[in-house]
Amino acid sequence: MKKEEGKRGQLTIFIIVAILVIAIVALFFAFPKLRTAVGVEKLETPENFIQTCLQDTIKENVEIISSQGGSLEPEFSYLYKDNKLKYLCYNNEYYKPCIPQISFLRDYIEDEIKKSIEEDVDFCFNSLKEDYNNRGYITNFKEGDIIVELLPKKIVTTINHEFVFSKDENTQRRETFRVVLNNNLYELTAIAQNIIEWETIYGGADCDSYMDVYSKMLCEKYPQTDDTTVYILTDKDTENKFQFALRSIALTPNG
Amino acid sequence: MKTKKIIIIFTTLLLIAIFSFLVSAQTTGCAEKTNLGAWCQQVTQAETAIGFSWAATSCSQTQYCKTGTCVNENTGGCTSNTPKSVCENTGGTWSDKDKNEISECKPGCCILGQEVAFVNEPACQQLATDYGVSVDFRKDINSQSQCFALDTTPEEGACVLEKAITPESAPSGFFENLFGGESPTETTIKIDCIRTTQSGCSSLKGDFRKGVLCSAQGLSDCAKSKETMLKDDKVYFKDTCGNKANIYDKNMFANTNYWEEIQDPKCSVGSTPSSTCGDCSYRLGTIGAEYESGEAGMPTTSPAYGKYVCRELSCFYDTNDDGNVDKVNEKYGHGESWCAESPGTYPHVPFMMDDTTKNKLAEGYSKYNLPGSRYYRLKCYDGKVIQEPCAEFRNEICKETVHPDTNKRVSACFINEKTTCFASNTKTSCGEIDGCKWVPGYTLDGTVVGNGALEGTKLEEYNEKQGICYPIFTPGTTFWNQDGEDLCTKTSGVTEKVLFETGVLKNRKNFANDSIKEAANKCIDGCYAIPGYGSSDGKKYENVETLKNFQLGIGTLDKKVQDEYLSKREGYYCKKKVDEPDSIDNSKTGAEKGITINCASGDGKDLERRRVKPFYTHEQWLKTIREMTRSIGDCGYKPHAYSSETKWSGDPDSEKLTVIFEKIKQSKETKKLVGEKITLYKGDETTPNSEYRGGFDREK
Repeated sequence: MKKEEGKRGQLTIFIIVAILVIAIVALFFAFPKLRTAVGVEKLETPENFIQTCLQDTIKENVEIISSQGGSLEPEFSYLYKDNKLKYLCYNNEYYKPCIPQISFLRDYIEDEIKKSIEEDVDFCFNSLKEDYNNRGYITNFKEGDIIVELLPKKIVTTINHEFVFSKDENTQRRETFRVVLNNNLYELTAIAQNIIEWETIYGGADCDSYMDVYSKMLCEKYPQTDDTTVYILTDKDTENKFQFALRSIALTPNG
Repeated sequence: MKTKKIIIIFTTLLLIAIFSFLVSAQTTGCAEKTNLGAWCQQVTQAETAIGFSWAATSCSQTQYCKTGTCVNENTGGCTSNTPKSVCENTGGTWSDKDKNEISECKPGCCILGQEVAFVNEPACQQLATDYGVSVDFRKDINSQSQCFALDTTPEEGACVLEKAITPESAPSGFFENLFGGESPTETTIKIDCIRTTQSGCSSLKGDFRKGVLCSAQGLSDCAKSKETMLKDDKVYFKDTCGNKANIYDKNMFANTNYWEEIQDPKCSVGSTPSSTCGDCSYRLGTIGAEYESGEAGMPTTSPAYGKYVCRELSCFYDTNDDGNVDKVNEKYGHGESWCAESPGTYPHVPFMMDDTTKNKLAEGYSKYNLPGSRYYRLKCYDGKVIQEPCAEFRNEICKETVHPDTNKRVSACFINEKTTCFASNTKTSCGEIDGCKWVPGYTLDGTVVGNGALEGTKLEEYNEKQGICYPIFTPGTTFWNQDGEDLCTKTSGVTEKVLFETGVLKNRKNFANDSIKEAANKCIDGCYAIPGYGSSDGKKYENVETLKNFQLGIGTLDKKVQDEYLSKREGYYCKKKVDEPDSIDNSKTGAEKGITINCASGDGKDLERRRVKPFYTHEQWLKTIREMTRSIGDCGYKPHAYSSETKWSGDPDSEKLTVIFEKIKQSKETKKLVGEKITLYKGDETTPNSEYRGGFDREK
């Protein structure tokens, strides 16, 4: 009999503990500030918050842009394996070298990446503001410019937005946020620009010679039915790819 | 009256406007931007994007599409051959000067710490600012490859640490970096010396000894070991702390000094694998790798120390697709390229074609360069074979050679010289082009040089010009559409009129009753189109040179042969009037008798009366038109590249001869069409349709 009573007592304690645990969890969810206040959740720095929020988007957009000849939504393109490849150099006439369609490829790509992330930058800063507000901070946000730079072995996105957050008379200010993505698009773009230059002069470029010089790069060239040539440049180590289309010295099938 | 004038002027202006519009709608000109979004293209005005310029001239003549150098004044970038509008649209400043003439465009090597970039000086300054490093701009390095190949690695040495680093005290990733991505196997490991740069050592607050190895005696607890490691595609000795020592060299292990100082390798590895030396050369085709016994590309013996060796980057590829990889002939070095033996192509075309190859290709028009075939080049990189197609429609041909200096196989896709071939209108000039062949008989425009009359030195000119220069690598055509069909007709379609001369009293209605032999005897023009013409029995054809000499009066012919399937009309061989053009009206009348032809008349002229013939036998004519047809892409009856060689899978109708019979007036106008069109040959048939004359008879 005593044994049974003891069991019942144990059960009651378990139920009370379970209710308490559920209540605490519910409180944490209902009042996010509580999580930071009790130190359960560490407050992320604004820099880390923006880095975490943007890095995947930038990575994805860079991959798309790189696979589409440097453009997010190519206006004048060639469809290759479900990818719209921007024509970086083109001549609709036969037996003539191509005419460059973009003057500065690197600048163009930087601009495309910038355009592709603008909305996400807004979203991330709004989320940052909201997150800090939820944690009891008073925040102020002022929009600045966004600069994307293709640099050797990396892509640096600098966001010059001002973010001021204060709590308990302690005010902090951040004016520059940087998101760094390890990527070899700078090197691949430089080679693509060089290929275009050769194509405009000689109507062709030798992939092998690029591969001999840059041992870590794979250069592939695929002539297509309508005399379009697809170039695919791949960094062997990182597998970063840059592919684009051009039409140079077209040879008519019935000429 | 005034109103009438105004109406006339208005109507005239309207008509001019409409006319100009119609003309501009048809003619192409330079569009600044097309509807499709392309810059500076030759299109019609209607294809030009709204708001952009168009001029009925070439782009080089326009202000907006003239090419020049585009300078980006913000970044200092410069691009050549850029149209003005493309440049200005992207914020650049355009100049008609060459890139080399613009001082700010001259690039050099921009050294940024351990990184390099090949840019001009302003761009280098910009990069240095971004990196927060000092500028080192090398103007003397004027090629990108030289710049990228520059070794910017700072000098290394031993960094002796006051306090040894243990797995517990090490910063995140420290040991992984040191051990090349691996975690230390021993948990008790203590590192009191690290091989690094001076700046790296400063950050570790260590004592830097430039050019010294951590394994140097008395320096630290690190000592030499029998382990090796991979770094930058090479194999290095490794000390007990996991630091990179000097290049792995079996013979240097016992050398104390080799473990004291950083030294250049004393051994070297070229293109052959090695288990004794770790100085692998990627450029020459070897790379550091873990030893796998028996694997292709590995050295035959295991390494004396450690587990890494220099392995070959060669490829083994079944090029001839016989199911076996020949370890000698089908082994390709790193960086080598060669031509694939793709179906329907001529295998391994040499860079410089010899006569044997040219003849094989010229005569092999039914075997090589078949419809659907395409040339491919293969290249070996990093032990992998990469396939690179040449342009479609055999617009490019893969050619290969062995480089005399390096002894390496090299291949490239060369442009098919078809356009040059067709533009070449003499036998000599055609023969001088590697990718062309001369097919005598017809000319591209269907004319006969000098009307075929042999006057003075005209024979030489005739032989030189009476023919077509065809590409030796039969190019493809879009035979399934009108463009392709037109090309086939233009370059290989022929119409030959065979004229028969009958006696005055002969009823032409009965002509159909004549045998082919009799018809051949009565023939006066285009006789070689008659099946059996030039033979002795309708099947066995005479030697063309013999018949040619007979025609030219420099040889005789057996009487029996002459009486057989050959024309017996003198007009077939001789002109009537020397000074008049050689036409059918100027043919001598009467029958030819005997074993020689006597073109002479009262004036005694003989040679000048001779009429040259493009063909002397039906067989020769048939062979020529077949070659013409098959030498142009996919016009003729040829198997598809991917069909079995023996099975002819083409459309027989793509290569056929049809015949119609007409009764003509004295003026040679058609009087009456006799019977229907009859197919004489079709596809690969070698014997004529037996209905040939029978069909005609039925319509009698």
